[in-house]
Amino acid sequence: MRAISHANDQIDKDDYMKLTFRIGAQAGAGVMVTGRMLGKCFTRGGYGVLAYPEYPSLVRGGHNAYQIRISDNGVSSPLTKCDVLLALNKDAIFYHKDAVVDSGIIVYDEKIDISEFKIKNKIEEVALPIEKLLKDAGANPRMANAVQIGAALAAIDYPIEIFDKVLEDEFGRKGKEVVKKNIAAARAGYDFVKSKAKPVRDVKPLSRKRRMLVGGNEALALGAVKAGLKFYAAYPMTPASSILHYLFAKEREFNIVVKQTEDEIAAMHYAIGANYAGVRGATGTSGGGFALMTEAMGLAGLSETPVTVFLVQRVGPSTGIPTWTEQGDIRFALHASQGDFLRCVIAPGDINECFSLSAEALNIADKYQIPCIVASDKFLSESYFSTEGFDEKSVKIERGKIAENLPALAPNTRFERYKITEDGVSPRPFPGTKGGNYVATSYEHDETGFSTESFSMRKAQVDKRAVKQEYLLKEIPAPKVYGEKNAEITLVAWGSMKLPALEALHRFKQDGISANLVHFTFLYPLDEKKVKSVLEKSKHTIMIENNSTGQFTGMLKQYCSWEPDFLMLKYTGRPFYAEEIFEEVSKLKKTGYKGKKEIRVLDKEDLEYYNPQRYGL
Amino acid sequence: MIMSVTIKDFDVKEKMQWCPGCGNFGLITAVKGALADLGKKNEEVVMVTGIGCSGKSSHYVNTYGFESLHGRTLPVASAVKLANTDLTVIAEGGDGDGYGIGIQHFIHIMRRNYDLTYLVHNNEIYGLTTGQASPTSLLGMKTKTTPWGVIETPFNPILSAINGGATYVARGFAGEPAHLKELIKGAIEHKGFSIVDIFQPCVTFNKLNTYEWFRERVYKLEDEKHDPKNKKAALEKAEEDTKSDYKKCPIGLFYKEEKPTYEDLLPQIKDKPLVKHGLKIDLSKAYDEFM
Repeated sequence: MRAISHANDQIDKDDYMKLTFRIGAQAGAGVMVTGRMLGKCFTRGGYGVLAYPEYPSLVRGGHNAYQIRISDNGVSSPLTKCDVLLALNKDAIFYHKDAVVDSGIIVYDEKIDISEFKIKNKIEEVALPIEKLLKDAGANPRMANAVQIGAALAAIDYPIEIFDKVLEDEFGRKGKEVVKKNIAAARAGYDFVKSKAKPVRDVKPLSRKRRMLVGGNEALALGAVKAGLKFYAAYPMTPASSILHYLFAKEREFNIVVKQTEDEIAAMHYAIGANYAGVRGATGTSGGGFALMTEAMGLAGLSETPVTVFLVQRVGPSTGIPTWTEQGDIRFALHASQGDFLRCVIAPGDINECFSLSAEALNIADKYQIPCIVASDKFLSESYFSTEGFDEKSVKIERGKIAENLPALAPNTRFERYKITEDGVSPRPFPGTKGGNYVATSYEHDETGFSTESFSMRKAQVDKRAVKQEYLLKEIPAPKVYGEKNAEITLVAWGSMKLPALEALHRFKQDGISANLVHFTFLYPLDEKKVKSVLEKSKHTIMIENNSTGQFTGMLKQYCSWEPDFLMLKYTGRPFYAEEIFEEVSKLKKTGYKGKKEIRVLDKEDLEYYNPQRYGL
Repeated sequence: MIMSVTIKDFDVKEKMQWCPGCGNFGLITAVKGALADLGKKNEEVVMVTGIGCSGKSSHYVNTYGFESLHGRTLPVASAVKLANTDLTVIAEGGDGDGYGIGIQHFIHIMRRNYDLTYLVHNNEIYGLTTGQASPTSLLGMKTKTTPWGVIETPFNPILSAINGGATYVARGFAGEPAHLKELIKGAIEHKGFSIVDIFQPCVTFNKLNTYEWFRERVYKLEDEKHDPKNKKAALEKAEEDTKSDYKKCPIGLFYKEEKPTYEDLLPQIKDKPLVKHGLKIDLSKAYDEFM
């Protein structure tokens, strides 16, 4: 159970290159494709990349934005400012002009009338005649994103040849002509910007290995497949859908079966049925779908059927804000379904952990014969991150106790599937195994699975299922510490908030403030001793949670009798920005850590993408 | 020497705890008889049930079993089949289970034509919850939840199954276990989604649809030379009970059609069942698109 991270490299380095692009356009204009291709230009140059999409729950209309953060180090999180704004409609100027730093550049479609906007003098502006450039290059309007990317690269003096290669790889299967035209379009955008403005930055490829640019959901899917996932059932729900899309696209290549079901109730029961039959199966959804899965959580619990659930959180409750991020479902994951039963809740914090912990979840589910929830969120799952590669060697396929080669059963008797054992786990035969027939059941049962209401057997079976926790806890690692050992400030975070927290540590370092991060990936069950051994050394602790009640803080208090000094919450739909963490913590430091115990953060950039009309756009 | 399989091989030691005279006794005898006649081995059959009196069936037949949740027999059974196509999968539920709380699964499984069998213990009442109206309770029937009589049109499972795309649609009567056994055998042997809706009198809570009530009304479709390949005729027969004001309730095979199963259309499991696949995989090719 190793979490892989290159975070320490980043913190140890005093300064590093930071560059942020923002691409803004109307929903449906293809911003996501542009963002990914632009990101690839930098992963191929050895850079660290984070491409973070923001969009409203609309297919057309509304505003879409993509933030692409480039750094010469491994991890990164979005920043509030950008260096290059690529504006494809008027709305984009309105939404993002204030985010552009002095000495930054705005490249916009010449059709946009920007005269009504006040733009700081120090910002370079280039009006890009997209339509004309496409026409001159003999390209069609669908290739507009190539022009834009070419223009963006010129603004930072990045070699356009790298993009040529990206286009070849993206469009190669569509034929040489399509590639040629795309390259011509890209070059036209590049040359035009070069002729109009001096580059605002000078960025060159690094002399190191190219990296991959992978989405969080894709990494979750890949980790599971590497660990032997053979079956996935789900009902579409943002932001979990791209796990389903990716696995469907790869179904035949990976030789797995993927099923879109009629609802999440069915999806979860399919996943349980597949596991019962001996296949590694999982399902995935967001909070609303998970609400429908709760009955089957208990089924997995009582029948001791392994199952893995990807719970990709978004803003709740109810429909909430469907396409924005939150860490608001962790208490729900912990308590879903009636009665007492063990489950494991894991929350990866970065792209590599998405891969390795997803694989780990399948093992935990199988070894302990319990449901295991992998809690991601919109921010982590729908963003694209660079990685040097996944740690495939750490993936071990552990199926736990499988009953095979069994002796024949006496006539009319059944196998003791629910035999009381020391560690609570009893061997399970897969249907088809001779001598193994038994009933898996949602009813309390005796050792063969036959329904029982015997007080002593009820107690014995509850205890059997509960004792697994002791063994599971032995395997669960202590939270991981990033940064200095004995720091003045300790940030505490779980799941995806690792990313802005690490970025914040870097800022502290620049300002000579000693700080570190304690990060949790294993959220439940919690081992009080292990948790305290890490946290009790801390001086001033600040918990960071992307929800409104401090759900995990409550869990730490309940299960580990530990409380942070300060609790910083954000629940606007956006993840924390590193700057926000830095500013709030700096304020606390100034007051001698005597401020309000609870800090609630609101984005400075308070603009909504759903209704551009309200701004007269 | 090949040991022949007998009905006793599917017995369990535990006592079957249904009300004396319950239609489930005849039904389960027919199920076990069908398995024995087809020479099924205990380990190659999976009985998936839901919750209700019917849900206990998986405990009373000595095969692999999964007593899942109320209404959820079909999704569990579907996945068991997809995971291991070598298994004989039988899903069993009641009218409340399958036509009430789980009806969305029923509608969708018919579109998929998995090769599995669905047996519905249809007693036109909620039994285990002590006598509330079910989706198939007849108009005017008084129950705990319809003290002035049912005013909702009863669900017609046969009509829905034929229209929904089930490829083997039959109805049996627990009071005629030998006939029922043949229908179940046909269902298991049928390649595709087969449903047998079973009149199964609830002697405790349904005082209307009793054994006598059914005996006076049921007749066998084969006695009238009904052609199960004739969809139009099947649809007519499916409405005969309501149209005749329950003077005639046909039992037997209404409709049968040959169609590729869902599993047939998955090349991934053409050579061997999913459960027999190796788990090691080389992802290096998959990484290319991210480079």
